Amino acid sequence: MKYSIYDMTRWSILTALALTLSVTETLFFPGMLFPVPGMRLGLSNIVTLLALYLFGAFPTILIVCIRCLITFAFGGNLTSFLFSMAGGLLALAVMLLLRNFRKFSLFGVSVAGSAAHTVGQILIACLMTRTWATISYLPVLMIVSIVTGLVIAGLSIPVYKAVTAIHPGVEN
Amino acid sequence: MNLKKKNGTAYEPQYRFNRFDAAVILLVILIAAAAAFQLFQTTQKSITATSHLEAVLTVSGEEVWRSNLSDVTQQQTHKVTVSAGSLTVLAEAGKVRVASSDCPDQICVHTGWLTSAGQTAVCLPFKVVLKVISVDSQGGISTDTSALYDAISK
Amino acid sequence: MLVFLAFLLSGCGLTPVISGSSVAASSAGTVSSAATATADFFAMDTYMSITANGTDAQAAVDAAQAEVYTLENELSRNLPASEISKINAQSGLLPVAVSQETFNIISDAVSYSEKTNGAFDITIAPIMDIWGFTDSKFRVPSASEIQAVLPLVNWQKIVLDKTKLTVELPVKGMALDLGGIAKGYSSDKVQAVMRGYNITSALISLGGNVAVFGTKADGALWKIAISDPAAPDSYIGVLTATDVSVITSGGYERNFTQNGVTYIHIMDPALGTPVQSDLLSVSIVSADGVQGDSLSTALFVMGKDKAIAYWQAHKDFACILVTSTGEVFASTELQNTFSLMDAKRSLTFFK
Repeated sequence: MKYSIYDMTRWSILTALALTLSVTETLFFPGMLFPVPGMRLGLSNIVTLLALYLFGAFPTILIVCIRCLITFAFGGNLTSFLFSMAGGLLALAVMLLLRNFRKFSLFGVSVAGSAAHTVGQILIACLMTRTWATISYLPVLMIVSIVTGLVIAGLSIPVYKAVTAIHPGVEN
Repeated sequence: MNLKKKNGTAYEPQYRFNRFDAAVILLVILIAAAAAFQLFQTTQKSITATSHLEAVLTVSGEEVWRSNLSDVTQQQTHKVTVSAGSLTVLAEAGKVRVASSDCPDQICVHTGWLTSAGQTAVCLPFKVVLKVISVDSQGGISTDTSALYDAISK
Repeated sequence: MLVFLAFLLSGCGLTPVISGSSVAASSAGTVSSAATATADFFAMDTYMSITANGTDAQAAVDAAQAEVYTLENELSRNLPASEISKINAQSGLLPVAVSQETFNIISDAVSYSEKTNGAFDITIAPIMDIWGFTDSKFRVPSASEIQAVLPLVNWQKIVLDKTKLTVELPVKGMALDLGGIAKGYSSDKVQAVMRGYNITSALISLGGNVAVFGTKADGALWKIAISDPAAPDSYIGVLTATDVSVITSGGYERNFTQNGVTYIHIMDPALGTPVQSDLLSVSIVSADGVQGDSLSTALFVMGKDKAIAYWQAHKDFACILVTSTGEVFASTELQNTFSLMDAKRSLTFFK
């Protein structure tokens, strides 16, 4: 394994953070506000965003998947698991792309990530209900995700700065 | 897949909001707008019906019966009685014909099934005309009110 | 908070997409069988249309048509062999024996004359004659002509003998015209005949007197439009119902114009002249066709205020009134079932 135990520990911490965010976001923004049960705001994207810049693609994928699995294992239902995975992975993919392009700031990447998160969830919803009806929520939720994305980026910046201040080089 | 450089992370995030970010936001808004527009179009379409075939029966030019052939699932019969006798029309899904008539020459019966717009079956002695038309109620006001009420009390 | 707003926004405007697909006419007739049968024909001086849905649709419709012809033979003043014609021919002479059915209709008519204080009166025939409505040779009679004939219009003079089943018109020249009640009675009879067949629903339109029962193929109630008295091809609103008769009276169908004045066929029995009503049409919604037919004429003669007062005193029917100013008044029980086609028109529900 080319990853050190330190790295994996850090990933675990971030995973735990993502889990916490994932759970508590439903406290502040109850799932009932969303059209389809299981949809969520995606605050755990903060972690995805950070991990992408701190650790890279592979660890981030791990973090997202493990986060979803654990949430599901600890009393989640299959629907929300699918929603989290769909939203989380699509967001990851998009953010990865934008990150590599190097021209976007955290804000841009985050907004794209949130939007992708929403799209991913709606697509899964459509798949599950076997109708395109859920797409009707797309326009509004997309606008919302712009705001969410900006907020997440705004929250991530001080965190990133803090983390890199303590650990200038997060590698072996 | 070790992306990390020796000092610092591989991808240094930029903190400043730049024009590319603005572009992303704009793109998201555009997608949202496009989706909304598409939805609007679809809702409009589902309210106005697409064109369908209708059978219209007239006696001496006056309309006495009409049937939306796309709505016909079971057999529909209609009998018209004039002073000289009666004539029966039979409608099935997508087609209509004069099933029987008391007229001497039976040309109307021999015409057979009418299946597309413009086709007619005429019973000259009885002055009865059966024709098939295409009705398209898209684009606002529909001249065909038969779906809005079943009968009119006057 | 933004998310909450987002939800609210998404909730109100976007659900049509999901329910839009159910707007398309559902031809999922399913359930039983069979078919739909309709028949159109001329009878009782008007155009009639009968529709039935269900297994025995064709048989029911045929029986209904036959019933109408039978009734026409009994009730029409214009058919010399009818019982009514016989009664009229014997006015001032002898009582005429009639069938139980004819007797029933005439006594029903008399009871409605009593209830409406003579606003509905089947002895109006002589007046109809001098105005030319009987033979369509329209004319405006002179005041003296009217005065000469008016005493013959008096429902209280009809002599009915229940045991012998006879009807007598004691004064020569008196005549009965069942035009104001025949169609209502016929639609009741036709309904009774049709209900004896295995059908799920039926729509009977006897010259604009509409009667419906049962529910349509997709479980929906019948939609009955009320004709717009001011615009013949249009309608003012739609009533959603079943198991009712909707009968409308108005002067807009039968009338003539002379010297710029329009004379309608609905007569005021007290004056012998066409009714000068503030109403253009009266539609009665009730389970009883005889009631609907006679009251629609009576309430038209009464005018708006007395019509509403009559309804308040009885309340065993519902009604829709269209005034000469185009306003619509409807009795309160129709609140949830009657709606205007044109929202700009005024619609008031009265209690």
